[in-house]
Amino acid sequence: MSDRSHDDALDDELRRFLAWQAEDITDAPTAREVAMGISSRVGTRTVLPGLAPRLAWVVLAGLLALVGAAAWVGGIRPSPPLPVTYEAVFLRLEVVDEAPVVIAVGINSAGQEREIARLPGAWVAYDMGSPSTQRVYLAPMGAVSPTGLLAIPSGGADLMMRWEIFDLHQPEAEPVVVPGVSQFVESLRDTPYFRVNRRGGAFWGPDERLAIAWYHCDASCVPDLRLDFVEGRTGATTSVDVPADLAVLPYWASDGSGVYVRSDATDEPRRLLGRSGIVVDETAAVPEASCRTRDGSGRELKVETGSIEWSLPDGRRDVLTPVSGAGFACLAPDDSAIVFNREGPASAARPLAGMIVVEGAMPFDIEGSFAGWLEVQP
Amino acid sequence: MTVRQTTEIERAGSDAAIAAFVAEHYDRLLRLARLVCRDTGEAADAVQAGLEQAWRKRATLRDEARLRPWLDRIVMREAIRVSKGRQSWLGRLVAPRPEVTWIDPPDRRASEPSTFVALRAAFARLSSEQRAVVALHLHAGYSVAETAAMVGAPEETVRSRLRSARQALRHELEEARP
Repeated sequence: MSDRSHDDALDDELRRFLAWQAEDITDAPTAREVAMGISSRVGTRTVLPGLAPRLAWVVLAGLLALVGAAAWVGGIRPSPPLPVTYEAVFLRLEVVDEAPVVIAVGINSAGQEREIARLPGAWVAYDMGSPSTQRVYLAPMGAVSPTGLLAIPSGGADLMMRWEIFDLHQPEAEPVVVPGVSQFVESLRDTPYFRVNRRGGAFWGPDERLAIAWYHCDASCVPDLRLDFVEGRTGATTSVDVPADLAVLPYWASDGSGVYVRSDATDEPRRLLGRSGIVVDETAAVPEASCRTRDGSGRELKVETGSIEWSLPDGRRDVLTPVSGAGFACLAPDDSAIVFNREGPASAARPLAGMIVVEGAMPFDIEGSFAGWLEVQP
Repeated sequence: MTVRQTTEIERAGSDAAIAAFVAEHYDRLLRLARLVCRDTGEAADAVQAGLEQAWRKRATLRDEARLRPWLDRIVMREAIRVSKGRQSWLGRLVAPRPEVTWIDPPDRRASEPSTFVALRAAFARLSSEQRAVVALHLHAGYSVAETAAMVGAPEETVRSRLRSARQALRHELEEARP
């Protein structure tokens, strides 16, 4: 008998044993008793309102003392909270009779896809002028916070865009409109906003704070870049000028005090542009990258020509996947998956991304523009 | 209708909903937890705590199709916690339980296959985490990846636990066979 069939035979025997062992529950309380116990603790049945207030407090104090004593004596530990997992969020466009609908889909680290929200009218149906008879529309671009806020440029027939913030957990609710921003659709840039670009972009920081770098300008003028600090839930905005010699880097300060900028050739986040519009060189805050590239073990994700690789702490390199034209590769906040872009001639209309599950799975393609990582309860 | 009457009706409705929720899942979860906990009382405690957690957090579950694995995950973690808690030195100090092999009544022993008796002893000697991965993978039928997600451990760790559990159980089985 081979090792494999030997193992299968053992497993069969173990399954029979486990089924038998699992039946050994004769002394257990009934489902009805358990349900009553749960009801009494979740507050649907309570005796306290029926007692005199003073007696209720005495009972409550006694219970608290008992719980405290039990915790001290028995080393009672609360159950650990369930860990949060993350989905990569991608935006897709459906246009029916020139009415655009943005569809947000989530892909989990097992590669499973689900539709999170449909947002009619959240994106202008901008015809990119295909030579064929079929219209080709610019794909939606936006940024999603881990808590599910989607910042997306939104516009109408005049192609002037404003920024709106939707809550993907309540897609039917009215979006928050960011005041003051008005930019022509051509001044938008491809998402995600992980690379330095004079066209700006939007990215989320701590405590649902959003940074929007943008300019209002036609094709003939010199762009005058502004940076708006936006409270994601309310839309409260502080707008500052970005000095002409600086470029906005996709890094928030860890304390939410500002966004990093650069004045030299490197993308190292060293100088901080705060809400006051003042640039400081020294700060106690730590830069938080919109695109995580270093995992918990110290490996660094690198996009090299023709491949995406791990750069290991000992200097060795480990190629994850060959890929051409990738501009970014970002890790999920829990290091479970990597998203990278696949660039191609039709990428502005039908962007294509790739995803790698870190624990050994092969890369797979995803249609849509990557917008960020969303926290989900498992 | 008075406020008090309305509250009573809401309470009754909620009690009925909890009862239906527990009735639907209790038996299956109890059997699963029993494989991790070494006695039925502990298993029942783990299931009760798990179902209560699940009831309180049920609004956070987005996909109803994921209800079963979600419940299994919560209850198995509770079962591991309860089982390990019993083994802590402080727990033994407060409620000493000698680690003895219980002798079953003769009529029950006669009806058990000898291999199962041997496996039961060996299975009880596995760690709580090993019993959990064996139960989830071989009894509940979850894949290694799903099992890993449920117990909150890397897949390689789950494979290693399965490997060592199989080795121990195989050894016991071979010893038991004439």
